[in-house]
Amino acid sequence: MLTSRGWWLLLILLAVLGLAMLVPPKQEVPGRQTMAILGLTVLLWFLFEWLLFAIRVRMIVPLLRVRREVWDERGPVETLWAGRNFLVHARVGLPSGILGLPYILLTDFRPFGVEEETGETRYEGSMAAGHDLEIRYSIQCPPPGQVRFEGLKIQVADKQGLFYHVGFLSSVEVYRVLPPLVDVEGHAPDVKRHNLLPPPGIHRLRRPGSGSELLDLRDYIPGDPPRTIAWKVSARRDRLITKEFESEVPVRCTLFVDTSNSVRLGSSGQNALSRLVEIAAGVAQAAAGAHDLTGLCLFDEHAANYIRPARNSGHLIKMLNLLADAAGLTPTTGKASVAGLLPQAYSFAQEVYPHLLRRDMNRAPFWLPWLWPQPAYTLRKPTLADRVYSRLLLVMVVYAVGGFILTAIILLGLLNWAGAPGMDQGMVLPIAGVIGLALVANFFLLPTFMFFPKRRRQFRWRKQLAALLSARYGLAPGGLGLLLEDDEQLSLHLQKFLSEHQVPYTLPLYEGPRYLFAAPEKVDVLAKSLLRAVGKGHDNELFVLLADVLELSDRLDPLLRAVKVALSRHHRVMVICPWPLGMPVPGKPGAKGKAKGKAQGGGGKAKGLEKVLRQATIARYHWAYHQLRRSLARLQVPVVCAASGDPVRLILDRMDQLRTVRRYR
Amino acid sequence: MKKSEPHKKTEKSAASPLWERLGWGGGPGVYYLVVCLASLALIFLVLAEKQAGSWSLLPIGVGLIGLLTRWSSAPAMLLLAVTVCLNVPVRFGRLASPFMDVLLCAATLAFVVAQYRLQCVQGYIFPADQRRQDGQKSQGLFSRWRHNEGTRQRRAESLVTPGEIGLLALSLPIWALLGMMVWGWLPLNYNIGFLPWVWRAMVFAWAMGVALLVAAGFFDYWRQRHFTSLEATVYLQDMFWHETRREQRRLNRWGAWFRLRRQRRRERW
Repeated sequence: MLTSRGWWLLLILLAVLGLAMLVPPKQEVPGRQTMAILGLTVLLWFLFEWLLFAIRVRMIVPLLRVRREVWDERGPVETLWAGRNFLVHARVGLPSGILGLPYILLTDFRPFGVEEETGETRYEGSMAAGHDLEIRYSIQCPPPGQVRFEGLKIQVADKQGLFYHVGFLSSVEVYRVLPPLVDVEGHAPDVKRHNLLPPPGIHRLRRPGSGSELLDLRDYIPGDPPRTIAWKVSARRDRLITKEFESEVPVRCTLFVDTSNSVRLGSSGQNALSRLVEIAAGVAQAAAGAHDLTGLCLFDEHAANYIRPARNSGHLIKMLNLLADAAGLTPTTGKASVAGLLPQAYSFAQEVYPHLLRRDMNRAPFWLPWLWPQPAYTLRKPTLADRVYSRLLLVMVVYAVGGFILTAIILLGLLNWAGAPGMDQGMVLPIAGVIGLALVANFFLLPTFMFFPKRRRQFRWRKQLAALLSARYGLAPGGLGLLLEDDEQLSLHLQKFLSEHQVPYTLPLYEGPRYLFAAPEKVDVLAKSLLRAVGKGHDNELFVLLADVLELSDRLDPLLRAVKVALSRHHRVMVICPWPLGMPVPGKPGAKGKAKGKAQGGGGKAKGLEKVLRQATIARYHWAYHQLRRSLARLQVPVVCAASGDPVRLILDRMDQLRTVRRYR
Repeated sequence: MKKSEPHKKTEKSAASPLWERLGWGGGPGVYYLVVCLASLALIFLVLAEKQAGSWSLLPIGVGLIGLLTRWSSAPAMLLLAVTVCLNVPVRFGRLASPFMDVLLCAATLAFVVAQYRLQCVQGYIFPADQRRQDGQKSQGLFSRWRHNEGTRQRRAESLVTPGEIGLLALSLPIWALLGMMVWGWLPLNYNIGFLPWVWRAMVFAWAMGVALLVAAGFFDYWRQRHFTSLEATVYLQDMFWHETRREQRRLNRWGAWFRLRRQRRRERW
């Protein structure tokens, strides 16, 4: 709590008081009493300021309350929309009747991924009791997902800068960011490619039925109701003509959205999952505008969440909420390195949970990494450095013994040199002093810099974070010990902690030759979900599979069987494949392996091995895509690349095709 | 309701004119400058009255250097300088006057407080964030220990009000009188065999220690009484871990080893 200024002033004060009180008084120096009074004056003032600051920090700051609202142009909202601007109001208040704070700096902790547009995210000044402070700024929302406001960072100081406190006012508010709005044609309202919008409430179902819109005219068949006869046309043609009306039975569509680890890779808003969510949201909104029923199934490697098709506004909002939640998911793997995640998680915890890392509450003993380092047998693939570090105590013993022997040799040499004839004995003591200091530095200071300082620091961080994670995720009291020793558990919990707070982090993609994010189990889950949807289906439905199965072309048998079942029930199936960003879109069928791998985004500057790898990757993706198309083309199931054309429009066109009249005469 | 306003940093580079660096640019920071200069003048007068001779110039020099160069240790050094002046042996006698003592103490305290507040307005009020310092490019010698412009947080000049100057001025004699009273209360008699001044120092240290202990205990108790459930869980968990860490370490290491062995066997098959 004391700054360096405060420490220096205190030291000088104590020195002055010590001199005034402890040194025997002399008659010829009558200023000793004045010196003591001077020291006491400044000390009493210093202690008073210290007490006042401690009262403010310990008792007043915890009483601060934060209220946050996010506004659009009409008022406060509880849900945000991607790509739009919103105004954030954060109010901080103190109850009345207590001490104020002389100087504080409040900084709103901006969520990751949110772009700040205008305004200030900080407030500087004093704070009186009973008054509110307001911080106001505008933000632009990120892609669909969630936005999490953690709270405000507070820094308190006295006016002299002698005392300082930094803390965090936690006030967690999570807002969903829904996909952007689109119109009936599946496009954003400011982009209209076709001028064929139907009137509200009217839909086009080009099948004969009992609606009120005229579909077609045909010859009269005995048994047609007389009210359907078109008399004027019949009089002109001199034969009976019957009117056919449009059917009011809507088309059903179920969207199967892949939310497995393979599509979550990449930064939020630019990964495959965000593209799939965008397509699904566009289709859902466009279909709802045309009063068609849309269902949703979110699946991953483990389970599926299925919602039956419906068409009311509440159902659409429910689907958009689920899609927004899915868009915010992050990949996880137990193979991630703890050393890579630990610094990020610790620095974040220092900002947002400083009160849980205090030494009196969460102590990491300094001797812990020296005496009990992590053993190599608890590591998945220990390196030589890991093995040496696990024997740190032995290394220190060897170092101490070696140092002792060296010291003995040096001292013996010094004694011999000091005893040499003609040697100036007065030089011996200073030289011995210098050598003694060097030896002390060598023994006690050098090891702290030489022997794995980074690992020891990270071990202390690990201990503190393990305590925090264990308490937060309900693993206490034994969870601390578990996370301190088990790398995989700690890695999973660190990823959970970081993704919950929306902190981006990097993960390894491979463990040796094995790709960690293929997620082959999702094919079975998708197949079961599709069969379930077929079982609950009514008449001709469209099933759209928005899934990344390019890496699993040899494991698609369960899915192909489910697709055959769906087709046998006269449903339609369509597959949309997400495409990696920056990868050239595949060309015509039959052009496998011919992709030149023209570098995009890098301007063609990749050379040598990088260029070869890129070309090989592109060729592999194109080959996998064509394989998938070939497998499903046998079943007459179209496969579309999400990066080519307008997948939303394609899906809506396919739904329109389901309304085509099939006339049997 | 106070609203956030764009934080206006008063950028005063090393090449700015002298009067701006001294705070004579017309902002409220000039109040503290006036207090500093007035207190230096008063210190000089009192020391001259006490017949300190040319030593009276020592605190003035330290104070002026601190004002010109924004030396952060200037107040502490001024305290030392005044102490040195008071320890100068007297040849021609020195007037012992309680009023002068009060005046000297009040003036010294005024300089200390005003100079620190001036540094907060012109220099920095918060300690530098070392993590941001490490990210800045080094700028010459000892750059690591200097505050870079990007990490500096000053107290805005607009927050300085005449009211706080007045409060400071009114409180100065009170602190000086309190210091004098405490000195008078410290006993020389009733000791248990120590030298009087040693006994007085012991009583003082003991009283300070007890007061600090009571205050620290009170604040700790207050904080623990207002723990949230998460804080209490972390606290108790830490205590539990410190008591049982050996057993936990043994069990969890064995568990981690067993899990890894099972994984390796599965991968082999």
